[in-house]
Amino acid sequence: MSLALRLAGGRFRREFGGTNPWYYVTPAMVIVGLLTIAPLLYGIYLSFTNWSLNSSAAPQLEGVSAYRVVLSDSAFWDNLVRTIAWTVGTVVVEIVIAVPFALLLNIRTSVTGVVTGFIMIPWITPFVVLSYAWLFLYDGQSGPLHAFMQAIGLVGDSTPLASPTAALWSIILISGWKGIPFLTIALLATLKSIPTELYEAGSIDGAGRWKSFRSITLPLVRPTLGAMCVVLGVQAFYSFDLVWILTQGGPGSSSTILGIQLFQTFFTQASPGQAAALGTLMLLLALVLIVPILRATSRRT
Amino acid sequence: MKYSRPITAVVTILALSATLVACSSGGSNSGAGSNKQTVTFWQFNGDQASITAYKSAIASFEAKNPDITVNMQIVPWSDQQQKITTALASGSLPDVSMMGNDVVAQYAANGSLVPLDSYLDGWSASEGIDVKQDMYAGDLSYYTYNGKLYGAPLADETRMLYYNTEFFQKAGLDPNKPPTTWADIEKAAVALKSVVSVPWSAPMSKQYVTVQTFMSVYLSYGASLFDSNGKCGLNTKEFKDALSWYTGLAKSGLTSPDAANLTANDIINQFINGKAGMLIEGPSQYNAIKNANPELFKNIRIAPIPAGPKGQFGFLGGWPLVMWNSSKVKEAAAKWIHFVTSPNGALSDIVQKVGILPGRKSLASKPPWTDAPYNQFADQLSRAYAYQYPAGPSPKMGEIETASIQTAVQEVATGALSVDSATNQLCTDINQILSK
Repeated sequence: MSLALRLAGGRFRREFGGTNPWYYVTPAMVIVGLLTIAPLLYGIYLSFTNWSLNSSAAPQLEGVSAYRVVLSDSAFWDNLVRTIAWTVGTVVVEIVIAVPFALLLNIRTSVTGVVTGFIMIPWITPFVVLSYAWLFLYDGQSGPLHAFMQAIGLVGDSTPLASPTAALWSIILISGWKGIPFLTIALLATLKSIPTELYEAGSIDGAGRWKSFRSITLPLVRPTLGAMCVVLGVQAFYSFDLVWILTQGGPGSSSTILGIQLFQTFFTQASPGQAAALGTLMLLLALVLIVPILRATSRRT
Repeated sequence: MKYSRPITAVVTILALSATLVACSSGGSNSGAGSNKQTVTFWQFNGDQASITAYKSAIASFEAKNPDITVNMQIVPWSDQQQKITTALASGSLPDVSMMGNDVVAQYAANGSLVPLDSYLDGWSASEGIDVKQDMYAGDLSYYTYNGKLYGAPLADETRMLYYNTEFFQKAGLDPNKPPTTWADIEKAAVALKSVVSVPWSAPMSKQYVTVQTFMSVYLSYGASLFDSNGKCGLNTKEFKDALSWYTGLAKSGLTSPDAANLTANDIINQFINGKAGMLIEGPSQYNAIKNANPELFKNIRIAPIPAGPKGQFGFLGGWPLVMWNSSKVKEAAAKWIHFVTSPNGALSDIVQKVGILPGRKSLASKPPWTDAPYNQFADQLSRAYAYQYPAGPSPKMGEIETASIQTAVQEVATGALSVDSATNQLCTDINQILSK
């Protein structure tokens, strides 16, 4: 910065309140307020209106009738079960692959840096691009992954995405795969922070590899693992784009999760009131699911 | 200075933000000083030919009406329903937009559209013909709700059978005798199976193209969407036979193995890339195939939609221009609608550039629409019907076609449900949508 600019900056600071924190906080607060809090409150308000674009031009308060419609629809409960399976499945795939990955990458070799870079690819690639790549991999006529799955008897002639029994889990695999890099990097950072003295002390006490993993590594990465599970779980719970691009919730409703139902309620059924009620219910459900996970994983031993 | 610091800070920043907001929204409204009016127009065709055609239409319209500016925004067909729903909910609708013929009744019923009847006399006077007489009966039926006309027909579309004569010859079929019935098309598909991996790219997915194809089957089997009481009329032997026959194509491998999850583009690409023997599609694919694969194009012929036991029922597609009730420049909007949709305005130029069928009979009876292949499509159009034929348009059609018919086809084709249970489910869903 040039001297003149710095002087001008100094004068600006002196004349307009110096280090007054309000100057620095207000823009962020206004943006957060406009982009997050206001729509959230508006959504909660809409959920008490049962507004339908087909019948009324403006929302009118109507109590809990939108909630009643959503909760009495059996499709909601089916989709809820599917969404929980989807969320748990996604996080399980992430943990099962990311934990060994992180442990491997924690061993310093000549290729560690390159491999760490490469595994970030799924995380930094947009969902739309990934989805089309996977559509090709799963294609019933030319998809290499489909050919493999067919050879081992997992699926029939057609893409798993067109199969009522295979569609959901074949997208869960993609959803989990996408989250692996994020979890791996977070775990790797934690692993690097574990002092090697702990393992040395453990081995003096006669602990084998498995024992030191269970008594040293696992307890120390558990808070990270818990926090990451919450982040990735919430992200999976609100998923929409991946499923929408791959199957639009089909075949039938076999891959319809709550995010898809929310979209269909608003856009196909043109019912913002019910869509808002569904969105509010999803928010409450996410809160209910998060608290026990955080409780369980933040306990220290 | 005696102001408290936090308040000064907050007020300064709010004032700055307000200035920014004011700047960003300044362009969209008409200037207060002049009488210049801006008509916002949502155009759904994103291809280069359409954009060029509408741009030149706008230029000549603005030259004739110096006090009106037309602001065209491209909203792709695939997003238009979401955009309209969002705009309805947030009050940001355009003045004029295109619209799918099947949903005109829906937006007319909820009061979002302006009836165009009061403008018709003026339009007829300027054209020297009765404009309503110049529109197709099918369009008039789709665009009329409670006796009022809500759409000015722009273009019409119907589908025909495209087939590849090279595959026909290899399979021992006569390329000069295309299938004329659904039974024929199945026989041809069985023969084609030995020469091409996908005999007929028949869609079974949750996409519009599925209902747009399948409707020709169920109507020709004598099924109708609504019964005489206006409830679901599909729980009949006719519909079940149609559903059973159509989804049977998937079960016997006569369509793509992935048919239950393919988009309209996927299906078209299969055909263009020489991986499918037959395709049911509209007139715009004619040029698309010619441009994308000239080698294959030499072997492509077009035949009428096959007939079923009750005759031949083509798909009736079309899109009018509509005026939204929220418009503050209705007179200017009406002028623009008339300019785009009238033979003495830009209609002839637009439909020729884009390669579609005009929504006016007086234009369709002149070249190039009397030349192949457009004359074939025009002929098919005279036997094209709405999904709900013989009933009139339903305000719930948009939801019924997407949320129920396509899903039923998909569920039977993938083996998730039997024909009987899918039909029961379908009628439960349709009646539930109708009762809302």
